[in-house]
Amino acid sequence: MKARRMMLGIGLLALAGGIVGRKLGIIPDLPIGKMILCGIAGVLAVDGIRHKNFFLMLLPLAFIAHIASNYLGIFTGFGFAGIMGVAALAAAGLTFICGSGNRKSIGSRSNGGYINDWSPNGGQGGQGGQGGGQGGQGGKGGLPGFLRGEVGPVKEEGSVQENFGTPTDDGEDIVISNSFGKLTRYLHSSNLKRVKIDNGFGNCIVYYDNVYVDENGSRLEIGNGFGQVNVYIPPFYRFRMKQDNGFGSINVFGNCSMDPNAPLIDAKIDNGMGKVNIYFG
Amino acid sequence: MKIRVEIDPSYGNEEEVVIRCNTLSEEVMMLQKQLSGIVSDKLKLEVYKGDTVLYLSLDEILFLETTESFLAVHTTKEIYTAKERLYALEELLPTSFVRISKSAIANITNIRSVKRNITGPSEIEFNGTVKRAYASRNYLKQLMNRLEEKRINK
Repeated sequence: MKARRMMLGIGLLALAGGIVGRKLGIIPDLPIGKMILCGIAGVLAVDGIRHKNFFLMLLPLAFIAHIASNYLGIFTGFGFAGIMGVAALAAAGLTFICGSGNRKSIGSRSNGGYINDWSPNGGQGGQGGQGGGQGGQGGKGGLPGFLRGEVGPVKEEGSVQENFGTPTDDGEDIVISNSFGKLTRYLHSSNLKRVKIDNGFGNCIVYYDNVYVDENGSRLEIGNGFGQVNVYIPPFYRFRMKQDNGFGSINVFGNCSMDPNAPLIDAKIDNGMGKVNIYFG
Repeated sequence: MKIRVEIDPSYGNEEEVVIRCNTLSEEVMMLQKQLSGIVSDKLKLEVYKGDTVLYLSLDEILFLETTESFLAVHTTKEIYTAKERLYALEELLPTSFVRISKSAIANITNIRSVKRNITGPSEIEFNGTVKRAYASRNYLKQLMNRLEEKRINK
């Protein structure tokens, strides 16, 4: 997953920074081995934050605190067992209060991790029905167009580099990857089976534009780290969602189809600290 | 600037306004946009949905956005494609259409709300749809000014 790779990257960058800091004398006398262990523990802690797992979050932090205690001058009297014990107790307490992050979300609907055919009024179960649905056929749009009744010619220069052509069929299996910045994708597929969206820190917007979902349904896999993912799905598809949310939010706007014969979009959303919005409309 | 109205019965049913100028100044541009705004209810944008050509009333448009290969024209329920370049349309469209980012123009008559975001793009909601557009910080002030002008003119 992109977010996981990104965390690993951040960990390595932090490690590189630590080595530079050590060489420059900013971080005094911390051995390379301990620094690497701190880096690994840091990555685990961030992963714990993403998945709202307090044990995974606090135990690595306690480990770092123990290693760095002599250098930072904190927790010096605790000892390894003491500091880990405190972290474990704190993690247990927080887990009792806030619950485990595994298959649970903050501020969004959840039903054992699954929301069957989501709609604000509840939903029906059932697997994907017949394909088809509505929406224009992908393939040959984007032909010349202009304003009717327009007024006069205009300047030649423009501020944006633009390319124009025909929207092509994206195929059955579409993978969208975005790290930073804004990415907008309009999906065109005559037989869509899977869409995978990986977003790190950026803003990713995906439209099911000219899409025919496969008769056996389609999968939608979203992995979001710290950014925002907006997915626009036509309301004539059924929708089922399995979510794994950390400290971010997963929101659904509008109503999906309740027709048991409508094609099913089976979504699996893994969200860390970002925001995932599903829009039907 | 001289304004002259010529009445000639030999002209057809469709009136024509021609602006003659030696350069395309800001004043002329503004005049052109104002005129476009007056006749905007008659303007239609040629758009495509698959193999079908449609002539879309400008009032129906929420926003236009460039993608890698085409210009996407958003209405409350549909997404159409158009070939025109965004900057060319920006000049042609009436004043109710405002640039909100490098890649998008929004129709302010359909805007319901603007959710300001200090750190990133501000979220724009439209009437009668769940669709959102995003105004980048560079263009937000211009958008808010235009919305304010519209509110005062009402």
